[in-house]
Amino acid sequence: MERIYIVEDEARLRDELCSVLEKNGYECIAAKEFDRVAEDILREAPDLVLLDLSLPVHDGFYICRRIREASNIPIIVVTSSNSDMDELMSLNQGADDFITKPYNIHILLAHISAVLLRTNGHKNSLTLSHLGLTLDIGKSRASYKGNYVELTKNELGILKNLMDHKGTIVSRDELIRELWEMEEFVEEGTLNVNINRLRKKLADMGLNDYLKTKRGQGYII
Amino acid sequence: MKFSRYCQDKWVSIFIFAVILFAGWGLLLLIETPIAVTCVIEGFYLAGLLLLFLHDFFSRKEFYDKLLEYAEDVNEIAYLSELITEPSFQEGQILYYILQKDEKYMNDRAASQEAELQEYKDYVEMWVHEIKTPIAVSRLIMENHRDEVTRSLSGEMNRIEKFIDQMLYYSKSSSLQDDYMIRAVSLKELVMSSVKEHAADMIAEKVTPKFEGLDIMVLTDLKWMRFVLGQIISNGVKYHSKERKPQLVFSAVRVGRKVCLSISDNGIGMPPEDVERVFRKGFTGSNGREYTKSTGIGLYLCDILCRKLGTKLSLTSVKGEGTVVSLEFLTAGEEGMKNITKM
Repeated sequence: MERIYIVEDEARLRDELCSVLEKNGYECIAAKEFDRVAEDILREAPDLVLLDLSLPVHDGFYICRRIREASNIPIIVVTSSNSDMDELMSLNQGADDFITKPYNIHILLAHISAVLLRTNGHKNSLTLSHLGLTLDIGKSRASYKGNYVELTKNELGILKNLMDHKGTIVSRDELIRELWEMEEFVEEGTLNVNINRLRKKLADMGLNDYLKTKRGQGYII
Repeated sequence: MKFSRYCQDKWVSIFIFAVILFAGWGLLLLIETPIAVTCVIEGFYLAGLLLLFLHDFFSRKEFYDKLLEYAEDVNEIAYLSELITEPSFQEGQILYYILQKDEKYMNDRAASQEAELQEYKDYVEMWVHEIKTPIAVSRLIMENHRDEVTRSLSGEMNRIEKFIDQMLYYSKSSSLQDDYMIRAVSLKELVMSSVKEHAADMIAEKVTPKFEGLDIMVLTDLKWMRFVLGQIISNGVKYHSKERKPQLVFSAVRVGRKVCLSISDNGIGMPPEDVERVFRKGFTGSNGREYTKSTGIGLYLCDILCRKLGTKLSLTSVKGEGTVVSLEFLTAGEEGMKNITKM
């Protein structure tokens, strides 16, 4: 499991961010004291650092520089300032990526997995599993009891979103939005077609009724 | 300054002089001075007067003409006294003194107002910056407790964020120092990111985007332009027609060094008398009143921001058929392409 170190002084934000990341299969470590953050990070050696810029004691730029002096741990800078200057400074100090608050959580997750993929290569390609079904996102493939099916880009997006939110209802609009994020600007009709094809592929592997419809609300797995 | 007008102003002096001249003439006649001598004496007097007037006229003319000329031509009229030299005659000196005093007062006032405005703007920007943390926390709480309630709250949060954005750009629109940065930007990336930002609204109203010919690099500021496109998309979604499948078409055409991006919807459109006035501050038009509550700020802001960026913004519309908003950019050319591919 990949470990993410969060440097964020706002306690509520830190806690909620931790639980979102943990839900998405990451392990979280969070700094609670800010006077020796850089040293703490270097000792913990996480797989990735989420670094806020405005912090007590030292600012994010300083911490970023300190980490870079000793390590190549990927760093994503998170800030609420919308200025190009901060972005430029962060990248100059050796940050790998930059994202502004308030971020869409899916976009943050996408940035995290992209940075991890870039630094770790494909060695631990992201997989999700739920009720015996395993989804290999890197290979765009779903497998169940030794059988597998190849998924199209849209089917992968839909199944990934449903598995990210397993046990809760995902509305049709949310699924369409997920596809729009992937720059597939589909309409409702296309979503229906994609869902039906996905169901058929799952049924071919012996998974009937895996993807349930909640009338008027959306889908759930 | 005209000499005839000057003489008009001096009519009392001329009158008094005429009387004295006449009296002198009479006196010379009485003591039986030869006519030739009388003429010479009176001629001297006349010449003296004329020379006096001419000298006085030209010294004033030099000062006042320059003052008038600068007052007409110079943009910064508050610095007028810096441009002229202090005159040698008293009235001019008084005027010069008052002018200096007045300018100082005016400049002090302007400076203090400017400082006050800047402080207010700084406060707005700081506030916008601060509010983002609670919004980010709220978003994460919603993500961690997904249900019908948080889903609709999330929609409201989108609206809150849009209003905050509008406030930020409103504050920037009148900014004394602009914080934009013109760079080579992929038109496709610009449009796609704007569409994604407004995806929730578009999907809720079932508005689908179409893209044509966006593979062009343009020179603009990504964030500012994303805001402008956001307002246009927002309008396209708000004023969609219920009679047909709503669509937003983003198409770009390149003509020489220029790229025209047009965003056309097939919405309700607006009457011609409204089209002329859409960019005015506070203008809501018949649509703004009939369909949804409109603030009349969105397009006004777009217009201001586009002017600052040097982008031509125009709008055409046919009532009942739709609206087309066009933006004219400069292409980034080859250099811009290289910069982007390097990044």
